[in-house]
Amino acid sequence: MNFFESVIIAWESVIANKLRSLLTMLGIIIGVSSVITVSALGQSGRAAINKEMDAFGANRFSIYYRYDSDDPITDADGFTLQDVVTIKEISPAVENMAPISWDSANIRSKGKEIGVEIVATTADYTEIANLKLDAGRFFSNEDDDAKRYVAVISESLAKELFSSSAAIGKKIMVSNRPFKVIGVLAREESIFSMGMDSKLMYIPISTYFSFSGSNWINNIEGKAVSQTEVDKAIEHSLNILHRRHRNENKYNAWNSQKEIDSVNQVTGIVTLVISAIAGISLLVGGIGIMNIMLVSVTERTREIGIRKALGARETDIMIQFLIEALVLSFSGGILGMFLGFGLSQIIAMFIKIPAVISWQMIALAFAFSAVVGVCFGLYPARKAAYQDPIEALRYE
Amino acid sequence: MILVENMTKIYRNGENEVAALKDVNLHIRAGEFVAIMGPSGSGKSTLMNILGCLDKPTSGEYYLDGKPISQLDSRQLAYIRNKKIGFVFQNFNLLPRMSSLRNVEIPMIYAGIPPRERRIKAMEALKSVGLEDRWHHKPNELSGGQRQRVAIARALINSPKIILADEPTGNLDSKSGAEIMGIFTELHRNGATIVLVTHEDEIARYAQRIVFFRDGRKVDEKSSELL
Repeated sequence: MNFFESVIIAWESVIANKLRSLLTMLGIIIGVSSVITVSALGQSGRAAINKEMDAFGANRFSIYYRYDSDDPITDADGFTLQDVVTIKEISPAVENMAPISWDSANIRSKGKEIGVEIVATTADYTEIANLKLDAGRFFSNEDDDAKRYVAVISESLAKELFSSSAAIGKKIMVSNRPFKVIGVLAREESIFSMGMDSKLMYIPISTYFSFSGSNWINNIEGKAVSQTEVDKAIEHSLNILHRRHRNENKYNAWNSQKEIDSVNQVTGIVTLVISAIAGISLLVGGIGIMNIMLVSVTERTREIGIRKALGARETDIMIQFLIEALVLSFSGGILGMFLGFGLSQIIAMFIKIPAVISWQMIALAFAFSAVVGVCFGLYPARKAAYQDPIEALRYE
Repeated sequence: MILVENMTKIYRNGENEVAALKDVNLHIRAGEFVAIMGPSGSGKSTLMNILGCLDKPTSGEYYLDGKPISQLDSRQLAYIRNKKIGFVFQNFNLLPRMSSLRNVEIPMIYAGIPPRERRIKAMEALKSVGLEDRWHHKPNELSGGQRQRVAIARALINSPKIILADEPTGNLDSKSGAEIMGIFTELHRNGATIVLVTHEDEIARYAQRIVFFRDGRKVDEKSSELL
């Protein structure tokens, strides 16, 4: 009997019992749709994180203090401007480096008072952090050396105080000192910022030291010459810092690769767990198909007898029922695929990451349903094929 | 054409053994029209099932066209059922969800005939039994006589040399029964070998020869003119 013919016969029987067929397929539908949804979201999440990390800079690293209550950080351990200069001079792996002091302050402008984060750093920081400007310029080394009262502000702060373009040249009062706005940063689109842009004000670090009276540097941001040199750059920096401060184990380093690895590890575990659940649901779906096929074989015992009397071979009967199981599992697979696409699009809409649907996933879903169909269809099909024709014909 | 030698069929039902056929010898020549008669339980249906290659004897041999059937595997038996034998059953045995046309097509599907040719031949077969305007009807939309005519069209579709009919008029009124027997007579006139099981004298009269069974044994044999 021809294959196409068998598919038509199988399809007729699936259609004849619509509700039963749909319920039978449910396990497969849930299994396949969850495989697709999970892997689509996993992949798009990974892609989004990688994109984020690329924007952040794959060769970027950061050095900060290691806090330990038994061995607290003292003033002698504090980063200095000279540390940064020395590391840049000595390590061939370090391309650029900038110190950062963080502070928060209430600023005033035109009678408004707003709490902001102050980021005091050097001119090199723009290159390391790859900062983009909407208007004006970042402060220069000269501004820093001359301890000028200039500031670059984030877009959301500019919007709140002035209209963005009009911010340049305006004055902002910080602790009664007037800062002149010389630049406005471009809005940062980041999944980590969740659509919120913090109110930041960048000022030269020397200016900050002179007006705040503090010379505490919170961390050092660095950039390695290449992605492969990040580890070396970190090692050099830590060695130089420990030698200059005559201490050990006082500093830690962070880099984006570590972050990517840990995020991948988490998404990997989540994917694995949900895939296991999907696998179980496919298994249950397969058992459902086997169950319905066994019912179908029993119901159609007489049909099998008639077909055999009219010249059907065992293989003809077997193929007929096997294809019926396959039609069920494939239909479930296709419905599950569409459901999975829909679900991942909906979830993607909510978490604002585009869903990535790959051909491999579709192939996988089809392979899954085919394997389930064959595995769980084989036993009922064999049972049908080896029916005794006489007993099958007598069956009421 | 059909030769049965010392055939015995024993059914095992747990501890009990029931002999449905005991040491039966039968010879049916090509082109003969034979009726098999006997009370229920006499073994006539068992004999028909064996003649139709649906069942195998416990001992003895069945030669079809000179070849011993016991030597054949299930694939070859399926081939014989498909090409050499046409079955007509008392309860028609049509597939309920399919149209008359589809039912008639089934043996051709297993014979590997392409769909277009199948359709044409099935329509011709329905026409020959006077049902060309009923081709799209399902069995439950047809009368008993019409159903049996569809079943006959199906049995004849692969041009088998032998037609085995197990009480073909048993579920029909006498008028429909006569129509069906008219078709069989016509087939016989055209050279078909027909073996028919019945317990009605009027039906058996259509045959040339009548074989009587009782308790699994062939007890008598005579020409139908003597009935």
